[in-house]
This record gives sequence, structure tokens and C-alpha cells, in this order.
Amino acid sequence: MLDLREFIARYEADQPDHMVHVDRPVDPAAFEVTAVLQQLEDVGRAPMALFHRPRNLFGEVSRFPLVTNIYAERGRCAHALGLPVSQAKFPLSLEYGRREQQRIPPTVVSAAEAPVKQVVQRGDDADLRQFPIVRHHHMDPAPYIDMTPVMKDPDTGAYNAAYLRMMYKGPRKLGLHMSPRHNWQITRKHEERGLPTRVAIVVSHHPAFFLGTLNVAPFGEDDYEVIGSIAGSSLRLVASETWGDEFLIPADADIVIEGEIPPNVREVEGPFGEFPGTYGPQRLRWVIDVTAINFRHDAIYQDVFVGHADDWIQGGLPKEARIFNRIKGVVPGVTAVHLPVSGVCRLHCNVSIDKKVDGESRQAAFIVLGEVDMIKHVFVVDKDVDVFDDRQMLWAIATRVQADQAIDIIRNAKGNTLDPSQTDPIMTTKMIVDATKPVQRPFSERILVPQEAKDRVPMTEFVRESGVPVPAMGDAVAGTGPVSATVPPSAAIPEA
Amino acid sequence: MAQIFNVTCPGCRGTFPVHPELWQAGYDLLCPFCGRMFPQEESPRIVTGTGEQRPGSAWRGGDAGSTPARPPDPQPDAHAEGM
Repeated sequence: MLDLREFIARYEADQPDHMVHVDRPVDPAAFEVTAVLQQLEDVGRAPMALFHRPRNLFGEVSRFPLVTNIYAERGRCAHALGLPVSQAKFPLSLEYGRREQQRIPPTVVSAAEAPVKQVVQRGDDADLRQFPIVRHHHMDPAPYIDMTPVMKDPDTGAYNAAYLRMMYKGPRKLGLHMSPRHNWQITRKHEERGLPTRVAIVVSHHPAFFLGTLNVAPFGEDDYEVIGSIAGSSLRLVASETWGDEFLIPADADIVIEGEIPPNVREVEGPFGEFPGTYGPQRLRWVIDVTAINFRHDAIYQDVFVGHADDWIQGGLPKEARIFNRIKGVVPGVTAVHLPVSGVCRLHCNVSIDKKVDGESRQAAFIVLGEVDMIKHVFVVDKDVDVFDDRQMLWAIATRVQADQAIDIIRNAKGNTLDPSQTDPIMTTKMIVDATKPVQRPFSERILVPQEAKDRVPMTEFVRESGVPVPAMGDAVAGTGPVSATVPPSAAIPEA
Repeated sequence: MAQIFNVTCPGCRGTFPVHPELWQAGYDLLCPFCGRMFPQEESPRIVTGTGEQRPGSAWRGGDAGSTPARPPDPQPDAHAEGM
């Protein structure tokens, strides 16, 4: 059973340096939650943050604590999926991709077995102002819920969950921004029939649920089955308050808001601080009329710090294995794929390959651009470069690139409307940077300190920090003796 | 950014970005800074991708201050946003 409280407790016990608490009251609607997160980010920290006394939209201390920045470190994403933090780089990506291919059917339980049904509010009692809804950036016109609405395809009955932004518009009304993807398709189908679209907003749940919603299964696949597979256990579902068995909601969620999108109604929404770290413009968007709210007695409200690592990592991680597997079919020597935080985990893609013949770099890059239209720049490096390390990536570009030979420009390709550099509404310019060494001619070797030498002088034993007293000779580490006695002949200094 | 125009609020003078679909529909705009709803022609300054335009010129559609009960469907982007 997925339980957010258990996740927080176990993570804090395992990684106490990566979690912080805020005990004093703060006002999320007055930017005070994001102000704390921004200050942590400014000093290079991205901990999960639990606000114990956030204010709700009435201005009172809310009954709901608020947890945010959960996904701002890959280690926490690994932990959420049951992997050790040490597997947070590419092994996490590969495991996500493996699970995404599987399906685990959900399990329907009764309301008595469903924690989310412990408190149910309808009518005027279902008031959004009870929540500590976050206003993130200075040009956001209102607090926003930025978690995952679930909708149901009227033809296939398949559920779809996706991160979407929802603007607070009133005690029982939200604005809803959608792009033309799966939930948008479902809404269009309802509108064409003159019907409202049912929506269950999963505001808080175990993070494995939300990571599962990021799957890229084709439209028509049931997200509840895919989410179960990615989370590693069958997702427990329960009848909704508004539509009963006709629309199921996650039984172990902390908070689920039910509502309907009236057909063919649009209102102004935004601007909103979006994933590139810039504002998306004010638009005409859908609205949601709230019909009911379900939550646990001890529910914790959840939020994503959009436009920051908390948002970025979720956008990149689920795509890495898919790209890797597609490249591997054509370039078997591919070793890793990463969408780095420095490229907002969407616009840049780093690929490392064990290149056997020249031309494989471009081949790999073409597949990346064909697979994910959001990616604008592809950097291909050799396998000795860690694609998760920006410094190594820039080193490879600095030392292995001649611009007139290594860079290709592709014009008029499909892009992303939120990329502020685009001059066309749809099209963008792509770039491939081949930062690999040539195969067919000698190329300078990378400098290297011998590993066996590092093994002989482990830093933890040989380095004394400034200010720490010199240990007595009797405390010296066993086995350390005169340097001349431990240097093997192979390590002798060569003649100049 | 695909297409935006920047609008200055007649109340607080804050400037914010708006998508052209609102321009074409002639909707009232919402100032994100002070919460004021205002007709586009009340804005003291609107800047487009081709240069500055003032309210009252040919760009405005619809009646000032009115919001159609059933607005026209905005042209969807032909591409994905966000995740």
C-alpha cells in the first residue's frame, strides 16, 4: 500500500541531510513557500521540504501540512520507486523504462478500506480555501494547484493522469490549462458530445504515483495500470463520491478533488511561471467546477516547485530509457542518455556512445530528435564522459569539438511553444553537437591519474583537514610507511 | 516564446504577457499583480512582436468589457507543452 507518510519517514531516516522542516507559519499564497525553496536553491540545496503550519486561503493555519520539492533530487525519485539512492543516475532511468513496459491491473476496494474516503465533503463544504495552495512566482495571478488531474476516455474507459496547472478562481472553481495531449483529447471528445468532462485531481499521494503519471504510454492505455507497474504494486482504487463506480479514484491518495469541466466554456488563465524558467502567457482556458473533496484524516498537501529542479527532473527522467532503447537498436554502443537539469531536463539531451565507426554520433542524435520533439540540442560524447556531469560535458565540447565539423543545424523542426527563444509559434531550430573523438585518426589521450595509485592513498585515510590536530604516531593507519617503500617500479617518475 | 503581446495594466501599471488568442477574441484581461479585470482598450500600453500599438486601433475585437457566454474555441497548439 502506498503511503506518503511512510515515504517521508523512511526517506528522512535514510537521507536526513536531504530533508528540511519549516515549523513557523508561512503563507503559500503570498509566495512564502517558494521563497523558502528559492533561498535553499540559491545556496545549492534541493531538499524535500515539509511545512508544518502553512496558512490556507482563509489566512488561517491549515489542517494540512505541505510537502514540496520531493522530486528535486534524483535520489528521492529512486527512493520513491524502491531503488537505493546510489542507483539514481542511469540505472534509475533504465528501471523506469523497464517498469513502463509492464502492466499491473488496479485493485478496487470499498470505501471503508480507502484512506482517502476518511473525510468526504460535498456542496458548500467542498471549499478549496481550506488548502494551503501555493502561489509560485511573482507574475502568477493566483495560487495554483499543480498536480495531476485524472480523466476517463468516454470511448475506451481508459483513465489518463497528467500534470496540469490549475488556477484558483473561487471556493469551488479552478482554471485549467491543457496542451493537446491525452487529457485534452478526452475533454475534446466530451465537448463534441456536449457533455461535461469528469475530472479527479489527485493533489497528494505517494510520490511513486506521481512518477507513474509521467509515463509515455500511447493514448488509450490505462494509466492506472501503468502507474501500478511503475510504483511496483497494484494501484488501489475506490468509487468516487460524485460518480460512484463509474469513475474510480486512488484509494490511498491523501487528497482527491472531484469536479467537472463544463463543455465549451473558456476563461482567462495565467500568466504562469512555466518549466523553462520563464512565464507562459495569459490564455483562454477551461474551468473546473468542484463537486466533492476526499481526504485522509492526516492528509498532507503536495505541490511541485514548477520551473525548478522539482519540475525538471520529472520531465526528463521518464524519457531517458525510451531514447536509450531506441538508439540501441541502431547504435549498439550507446552507453547512457541524460536530459540534464541545466537544459531544464527537456531542451538538452546528452548521449554517450562507445563509438566504433564515425557517423554513429549523428545517427544517435537523429534518433533523439525524432523521438522527443521537445529536445532542441543534442550533445554526443564518448563513453569516458559522464553525461550526468555538466563539467565533463563542457570539457568534452571544449576539447573535442571543431565547430565547422562537429555542429549540425536543422531548421524548421517542431519545437515547444514555451521555449522563449522560438520565433515561430511551432517550429524551432535544432542543433547536434558531436563531441566525440574521431575513430579514423589518432587523437590525444585524456590525462589520467592511475587508479592503483588512488587505491594506495585513499583520501579518507591520508588527508587531514586544516585545523584537525596531527594524530600521534601510534594512531597512524596501519600499513602506511615511507613513501619510497610503497611506490612500485611502474610508478617511477619518467625522465623528462 | 511562440507569440505573445505585453499588456500594461491601467490600474497598477504592471506589465504581463498575453497570448494572441485573447487579442483576437477581444477578451477582458486579468492583471496578475493587482487582480483587476479590464478591457484591452483601457491598457495604456500594448507591445506586440512587431512594435508598440495603442488601444483603440484596429486590433480590438468585440465590445469593451463584455465576455461572450460561449467563447470561440482557441486554436490549439499543434505541439506539446510541459512534461
